[in-house]
Amino acid sequence: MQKLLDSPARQRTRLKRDLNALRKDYAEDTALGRRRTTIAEAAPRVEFSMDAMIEKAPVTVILSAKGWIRGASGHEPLDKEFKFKEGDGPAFAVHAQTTDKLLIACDNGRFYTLGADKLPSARGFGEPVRTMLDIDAEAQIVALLVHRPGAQLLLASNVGRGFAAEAGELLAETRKGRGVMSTKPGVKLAVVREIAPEHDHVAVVGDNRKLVLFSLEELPVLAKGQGVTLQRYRDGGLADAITLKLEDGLSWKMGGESGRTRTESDMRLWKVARGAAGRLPPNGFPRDNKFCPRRYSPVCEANGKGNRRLSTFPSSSPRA
Amino acid sequence: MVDVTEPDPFDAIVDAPFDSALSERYLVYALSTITARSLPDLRDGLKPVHRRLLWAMRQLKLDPSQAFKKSARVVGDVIGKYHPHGDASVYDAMVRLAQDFSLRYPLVEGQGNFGNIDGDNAAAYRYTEARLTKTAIQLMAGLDEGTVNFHPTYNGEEEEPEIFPGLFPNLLANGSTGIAVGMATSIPSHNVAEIIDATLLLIDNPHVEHAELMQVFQGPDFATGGLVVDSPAAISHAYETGKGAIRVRGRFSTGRDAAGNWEETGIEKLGGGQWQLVVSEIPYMLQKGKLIEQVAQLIADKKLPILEDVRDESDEQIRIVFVPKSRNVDPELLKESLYRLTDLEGRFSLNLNVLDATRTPGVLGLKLILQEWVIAQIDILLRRSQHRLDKIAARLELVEGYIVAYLNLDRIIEIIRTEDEPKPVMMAEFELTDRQAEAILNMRLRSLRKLEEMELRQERDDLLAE
Repeated sequence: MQKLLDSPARQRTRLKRDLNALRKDYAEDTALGRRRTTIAEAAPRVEFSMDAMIEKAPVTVILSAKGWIRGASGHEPLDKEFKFKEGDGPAFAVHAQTTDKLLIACDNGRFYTLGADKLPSARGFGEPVRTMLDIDAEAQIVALLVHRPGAQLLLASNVGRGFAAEAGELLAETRKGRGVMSTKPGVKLAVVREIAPEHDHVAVVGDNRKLVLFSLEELPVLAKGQGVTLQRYRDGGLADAITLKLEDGLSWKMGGESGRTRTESDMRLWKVARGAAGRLPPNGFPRDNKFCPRRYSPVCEANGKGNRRLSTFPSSSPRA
Repeated sequence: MVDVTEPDPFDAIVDAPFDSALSERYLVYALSTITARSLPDLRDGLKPVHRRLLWAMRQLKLDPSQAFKKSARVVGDVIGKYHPHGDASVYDAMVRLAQDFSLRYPLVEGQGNFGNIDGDNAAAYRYTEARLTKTAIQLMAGLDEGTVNFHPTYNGEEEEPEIFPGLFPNLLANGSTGIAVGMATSIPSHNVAEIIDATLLLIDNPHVEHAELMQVFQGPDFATGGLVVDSPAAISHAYETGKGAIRVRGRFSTGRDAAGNWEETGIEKLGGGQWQLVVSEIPYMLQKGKLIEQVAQLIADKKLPILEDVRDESDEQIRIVFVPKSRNVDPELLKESLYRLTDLEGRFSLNLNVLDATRTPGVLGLKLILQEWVIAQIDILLRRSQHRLDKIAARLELVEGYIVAYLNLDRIIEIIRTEDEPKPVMMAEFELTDRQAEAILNMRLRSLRKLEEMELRQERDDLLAE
């Protein structure tokens, strides 16, 4: 034992012997000693979007004039009379899938993104969209669209400037939205429309009832900014803007109960360079200087545009 | 009248700046939580409350071979004699030591309701009984052999050991978690066989590389099993620095085969192409009830449309069944989504913050921890050997005295019968030491029968041999 005290080597040997004896009690083949946790490196995480977890179902999105939003399950006719609160009324309605993203454009130039699965049910009046998104108190909603990957949108302000934007670049990650069109005081985003792939020209009409038509190629595709001048005005500003296919001409809905559509097939008369003042529109053009009724979807069906999913449903009737 | 000129020193009003008064007191509190509450000692891996619990249970002789005793007696002894704190905290600490899903190697064996993995609490201490496990005995082995220092308890009435000397590597085997002031600790449990293998490597070669240690010391071995899904390199790095995080997953498996190996997919075929997923182990420290609740909420919120239902079919063995929405669902996708959306995958943070032999806290790597532990164990070994040597020397001295007494029995008896002061006479006549003479005088008459030369010589030879 004295040797043990004097020799570190003997101490280590003794410790090893004791440890080996202890190890027998906790050996791998005992119930207590067997390893319980498996150490196994996991395969690299399969990247999948949580969006894939959203159940796909058709939904009709209804946004009221006062900004209350709801989603009715199934594709209801867009001209169906939905119930609104006292003093509120219809403003926009679109058909979407719960997996879609909704783009909400405001006149301060900001675009907000809302998942179509997040909408409250249409059993009630819905919820104010301003509780779901941080929309400025003064800002008005200009458009409600379903985001379609790869599509382009026509943006125009009330002073006659505008540009085309990739829809994908308008999506916002946060509820604060994304500033797209920079607006100065007095300048507001007025028109947001989807540009159908086959369209090749832009038609712009002003408050002064003058119409210009120019090639889509003259319209720059921007991510943000004020855009370029589309039409020049002495008084007033821009009333409406739209894209179309020159061959098909310009179509618009006749007023009144008739629901007839009128088409001016030869639009070459109005074709000028971008930024011109323009000339009076064809005979019979609506007195409100709008290409299509503003009710509901900003997609103008009279021109046979864009939203193909919509086209299988009865077209919306003009506002009474 | 009572003399009031001498004011009580405790009533004196002392002017002191608020911030220094506060910081002084807080510093005292912080130091005490660090050194005497929340962090484990490197040598035995215990916090003071656990050490006092086991010590009190040992004093109550609650060996594995003895019958159980009421937990209330243990708790009462601990708070009365050693640990002047709440009874609830002491009982909770004891309950944890008894739970086989909390401790990889339980130190207490409980009888009665000691809680379960669902998160239910143990029964009150008047209902439950407890005793020590073999592991706890191994951890305390050698306490009576002069291996460690004892210090007085808080009231000075009794003594308690500063650490436990046993060879069981409790710090790494059972792990520890705790939050002190300005620092915390989080040590997972490990496999004892692997700890010992790594220690043996280190003893053979003190300059062994960390990577070599990690070859045998693979990583955590949690009481609840599960899977560690980090790469060996990441785990190794965490143990090298003493800090890191470890990803732990539940185990999808339908059960063990005869050899004890887990089935690996967790897919249970129900016929007709139908299937369901089964989880047999959940991550450490996760309450099963909470997990089920979490999954049920996911289903209610329609956040996981590929999952139809979750059922808890557990008995002794955990069995959580996940029913897919349709048989066409990809099982791997379902697993992956459950890992991502629920606590079926969690992180265990690794922070090897311990008190070393000088009661100084520090974050140590694996090698340092093992090194310090080996040093402590060798110190204990030396103290035990020295203690034994001293005992042998003392006994040898007496035995030599007895032999002298035996050889001169009649003369000794005569001295005792005739002399007023027999001791100095004996010492002078037979060259006995004071202790030897005293021992002879203290001998009972009836032990004269046992005073046989052969036996005494035998004992002396045995002692000398040691």
